[in-house]
Amino acid sequence: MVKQSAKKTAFCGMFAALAVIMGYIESFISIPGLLPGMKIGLANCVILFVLMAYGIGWAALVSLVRIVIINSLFGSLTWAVFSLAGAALSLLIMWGLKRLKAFSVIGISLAGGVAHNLGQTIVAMLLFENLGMIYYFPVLILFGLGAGILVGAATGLVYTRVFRL
Amino acid sequence: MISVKRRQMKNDIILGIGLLATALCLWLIMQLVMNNSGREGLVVVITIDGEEYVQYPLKSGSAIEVPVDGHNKVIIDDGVVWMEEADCPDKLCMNQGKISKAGQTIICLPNKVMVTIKGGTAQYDGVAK
Repeated sequence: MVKQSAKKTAFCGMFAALAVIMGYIESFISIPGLLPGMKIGLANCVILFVLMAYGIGWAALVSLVRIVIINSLFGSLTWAVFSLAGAALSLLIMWGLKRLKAFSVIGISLAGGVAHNLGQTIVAMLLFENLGMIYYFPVLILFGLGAGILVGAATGLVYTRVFRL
Repeated sequence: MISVKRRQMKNDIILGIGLLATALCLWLIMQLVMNNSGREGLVVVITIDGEEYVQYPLKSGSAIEVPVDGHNKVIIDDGVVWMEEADCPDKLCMNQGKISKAGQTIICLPNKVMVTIKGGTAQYDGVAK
């Protein structure tokens, strides 16, 4: 049991590092016309993988570690609040869908992608006290859908290969 | 656990289509609300960190260049507003293009600058205090 836990801790440390790198790589990818809050969510590949493999507790921990590291390196407190809100909502929804067992990893991921974008925007709306940002919702949903499908497909591929070993 | 089952795939597709429909509905509603709002009396409001910084009429005849706190430059030209310059690293605000309708917003998160078009009869551009 203890051995198992140590192994998990080591693995999750590795996944947190991987998630940070994914977020860093993503910051180099610039897509014209992208609005704030829109992200491909490469890091979500890692979070989703941990969620599927080790459960919500570890996924939340990896996600939190990622946000703390990323924001203390490159971001600000404001950004941390946005990412935290997006990540929390996304993780909660993905966890709920996973427990339903009614969706494949792609379905879980696309809901997570949409939730991430919306969570960030809702917090931004509250912080800026601007309801006009609702204007972005349709675009955000669309973008989250597309990104979520990609992330889910990638995670599914990795997962089946890793656990076939 | 992870293998994509038929039933799961069907549910995935339903979920995707559902979200797509939601986005479409939201978009349609917004188009309706926006077309009903007049273009007269619209103002461009620029805020920094939630505090109002400056306010200009959207239509004034000539182009206005607005420097914002030395970090951003906004241009208002004949009913169209865009972010001309920004010193933030991601330049997302500059990529947001031009806005011209009530309720539309350009946001520069790193500098906490927000440019909004307000007024008219748009129902969702109120500021919640």
